[in-house]
Amino acid sequence: MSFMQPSPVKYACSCGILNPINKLFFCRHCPKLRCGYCVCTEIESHFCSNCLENIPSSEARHKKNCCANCFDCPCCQHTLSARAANVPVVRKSEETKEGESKESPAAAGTPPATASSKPSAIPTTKKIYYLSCLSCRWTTRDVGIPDQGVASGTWPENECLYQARFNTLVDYYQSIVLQEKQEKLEFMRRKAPKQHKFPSLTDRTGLTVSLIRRQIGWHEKSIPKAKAISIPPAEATADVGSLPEDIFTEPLNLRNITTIAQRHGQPGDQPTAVSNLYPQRRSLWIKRSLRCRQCEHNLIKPEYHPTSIKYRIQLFASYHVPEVLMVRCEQPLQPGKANAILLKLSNPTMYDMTIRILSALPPEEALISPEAFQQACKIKEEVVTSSPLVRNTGLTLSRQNSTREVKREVEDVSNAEIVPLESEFVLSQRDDSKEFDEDVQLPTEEPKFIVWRKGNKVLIRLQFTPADELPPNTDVMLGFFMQYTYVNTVSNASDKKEPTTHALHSRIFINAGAIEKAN
Amino acid sequence: MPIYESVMQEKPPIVLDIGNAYTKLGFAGEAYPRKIMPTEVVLTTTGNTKRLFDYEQKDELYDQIIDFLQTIFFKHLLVSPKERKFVVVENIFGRTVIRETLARALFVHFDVSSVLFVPAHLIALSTLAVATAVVVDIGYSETSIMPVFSGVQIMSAFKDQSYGGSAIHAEIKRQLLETGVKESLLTESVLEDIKVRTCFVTTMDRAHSRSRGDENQPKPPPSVDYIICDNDTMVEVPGLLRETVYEIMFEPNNERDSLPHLILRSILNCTLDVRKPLVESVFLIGGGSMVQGLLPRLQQELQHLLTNDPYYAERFHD
Amino acid sequence: MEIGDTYYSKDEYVETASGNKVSRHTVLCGSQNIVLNGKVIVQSGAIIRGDLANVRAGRYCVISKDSVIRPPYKQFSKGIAFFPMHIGDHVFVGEGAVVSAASVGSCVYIGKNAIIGRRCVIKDCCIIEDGAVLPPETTVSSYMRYTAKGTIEGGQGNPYFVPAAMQDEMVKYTKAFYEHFVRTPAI
Repeated sequence: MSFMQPSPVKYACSCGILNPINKLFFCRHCPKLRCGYCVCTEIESHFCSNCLENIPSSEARHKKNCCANCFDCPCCQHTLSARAANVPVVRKSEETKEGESKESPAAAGTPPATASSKPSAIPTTKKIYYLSCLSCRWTTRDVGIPDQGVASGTWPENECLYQARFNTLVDYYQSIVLQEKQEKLEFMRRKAPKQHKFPSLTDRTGLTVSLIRRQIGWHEKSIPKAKAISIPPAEATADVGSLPEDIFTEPLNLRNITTIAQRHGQPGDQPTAVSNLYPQRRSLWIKRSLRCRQCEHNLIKPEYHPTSIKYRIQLFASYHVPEVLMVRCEQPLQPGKANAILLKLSNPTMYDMTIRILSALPPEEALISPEAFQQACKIKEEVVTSSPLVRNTGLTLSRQNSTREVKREVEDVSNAEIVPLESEFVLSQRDDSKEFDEDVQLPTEEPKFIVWRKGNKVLIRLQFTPADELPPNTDVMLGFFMQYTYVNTVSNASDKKEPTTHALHSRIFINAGAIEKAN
Repeated sequence: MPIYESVMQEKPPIVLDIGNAYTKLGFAGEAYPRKIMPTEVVLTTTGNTKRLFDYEQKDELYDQIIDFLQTIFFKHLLVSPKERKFVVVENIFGRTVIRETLARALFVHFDVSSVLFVPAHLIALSTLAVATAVVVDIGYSETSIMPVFSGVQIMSAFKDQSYGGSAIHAEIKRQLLETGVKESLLTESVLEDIKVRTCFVTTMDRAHSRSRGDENQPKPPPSVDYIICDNDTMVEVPGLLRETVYEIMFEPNNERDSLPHLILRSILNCTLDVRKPLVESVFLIGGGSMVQGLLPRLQQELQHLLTNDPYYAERFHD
Repeated sequence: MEIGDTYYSKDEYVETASGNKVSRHTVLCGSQNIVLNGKVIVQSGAIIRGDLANVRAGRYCVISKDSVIRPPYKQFSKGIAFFPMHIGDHVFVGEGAVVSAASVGSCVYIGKNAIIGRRCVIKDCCIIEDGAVLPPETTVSSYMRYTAKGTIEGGQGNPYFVPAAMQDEMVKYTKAFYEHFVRTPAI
């Protein structure tokens, strides 16, 4: 299973990182391989992974990225489920209280403030609800949260104790910023009188706006000066409390003390006692869309709906680049001993591909150094940004920024010598209907390295020799370049409509297995 | 107020405080962090979990920081970092390589619009609306002290010592190994949990009588049976351990580098005119300062030193 | 890596007209309530509790050795009731896994010895890691990976944890598994 085990075949991404093909994308516009590192991630939609509801991003921001309906257990972070319990319906509220406390002994010890809110919720309904964790058996009754009349009841929010103080702090600092800005504006206005092309009325007559306003009897329009709000500073106290005496005598009950993860689950108050844990609103998840950093085209764009598994744009590498599967080595791996590996190649595209396996790049392509690559990018940027429209909208900055990530050199991890195939070969197009056809072997002249061929798949035999000084149990890595023709159906230039054919290459590394112990 | 509104309508900056053990993250203008998470990174290449600042090469750190920030943005904060403003709370004497790599990752990889590095000691005071205090940060890898006067850090009086959370962990481990507990059981998370849930700072009287080796030693608090869930084994945490692990912060020695000494020496490094307001307000921050009993103990120790230690007595009481 | 052939003996497995290959060494209770929609492999030692409620499995599912498929129950005040269980297409259930989910979507990979608590909902294109334990009534939404540590990672569009082309990967894998699950050639 290629995604559960580390895949032996790795492709070098255009950014220089090795990845299995299922983690790679293929930008049709560049056209180059892209991996999770060299793409730009964007947030497509927010949703709750428990109730699978899509939440608009403005609402998500307002709710602090939390779901309105789902709660997590404060003890083990698992989802809480609403549990129903029946209470005997009684008309009088006093009796309800009795029945209620019988039903939930844990809730009996609640402070009177919460207990008084109960009767209003209970007499009208037969069922009461509480939240329960099915993983660690925590319930809202454990901490004395009153049961609710409706399943999606109004569970208490844990308020931050110092929120009021914090708000005054924010007001204080904002007033300082505001005052500073105003003073700066005032200063700038006085220092540099407005430069007009034409002399204004004020210049000619000496009338100022404020003068006119005063003459016609309006009140002064000057902006009221923002006054800094004074804030009482926190006072240092000499009373720092003392260690409770019984800590030296009373045995410690670990069940009542929260763990650090539980404390951090409630960052507002970080309680030390288990009885102060409250249900936590479940945080949302996102669907991401990925964008090519270089050409800003989307590589994948999922559909909005949380339950949908489809994509609106999906440029997976496995849809465009021939896939190489390692079948097996012909002989046990020995250092310095010639061997051969069987590789299965398949063509995922709708066009025939011509493939060459090379041990090094053709010289003209090898010349493209990272600097030249960046140079090329710059030229392209200038072309893009030269249009006045783009320049005006301020898009130029983001375009330039997005290509700044430095390209890395591909780390050459190969430690075996391969024998490049003597000729190129054609891999026919993918045709789903062929899957059901009779297996007819056409007697064609094949190069001798081709072992077997069917539809868009071919099995080739590649000879290699592991390096001489490999100790036992080291992995033999084969490295080669695969050059293939790719028919691009989208083109950057709008005047060309017919598909263009490119000769692309991918650098591939294969872990052929470990050197066996010499017998 | 047009300026005020424009300030409010802008997307709030993202605040990051990447500590050695835990990272605090959230948005500016909110009273508390959105999330406190271990400073650990799930490597996208292998899927293994690793501490963020464990690295051999600079490139490795860069990749780890990128993976770490990816999780922060797309799993916890759920915002795109592109063209956002950032506030990074940092240790002012932190390693330059980390600061630079973080800035490079934010600007180059995530394309953020601005990053503001603020020193942790100074910015902590802004929550009090106080401009002058000795700020003591008891963190994971070290305890650091920075006097701040009128909103200016007195750099020359900065002091730090290595007794932070990790030193306490090492002490718990040492004491537990002495009682014959297998080392394989005592992982970092187990040690941390023992520290957080069972240990406390004892009073000065008890600590002194213990260090003097008095005849009638104070009776240690009850020991705790601690269950290590992963291995289904139980470890007895002795009462003596619970009471004494934090003593490494208060151990008297000739170097005069225990926590109370360090605070007083830091104040003495400041000029004469600022010492009085500084000694009047000591502000403790950091996860290590939340332990039970630390505040009263520190108060006792400081008062004890100021009256009984001739060195401090003559310098502070004139 | 190319999947190697898995051989089974002609005597052990029953092949139905719709292409299901079911071992004789399985416990299929209430077989009239079990619907296998074709090309499903049920390996030896697997238990499917059709006697509790209906079990439907889509096409190209693999139910590995010693796994248990057990419809979920819910407790009411008057007793308990079992609910039918639906498994989508192209689902792989690893060896020794216990599945008591209310529904399992399509293209789901359930690892070895994973335990899926009662009334869990597993949406399409998920990965449950080997040895993961899902508490009852957990929902795993699409493209999520439930780890053995109990955390959830991934999400659609996240290039790591769950492959973006999970649907294709699972279709390819389960089809290949079926094609390579062949009768031992006669000697």
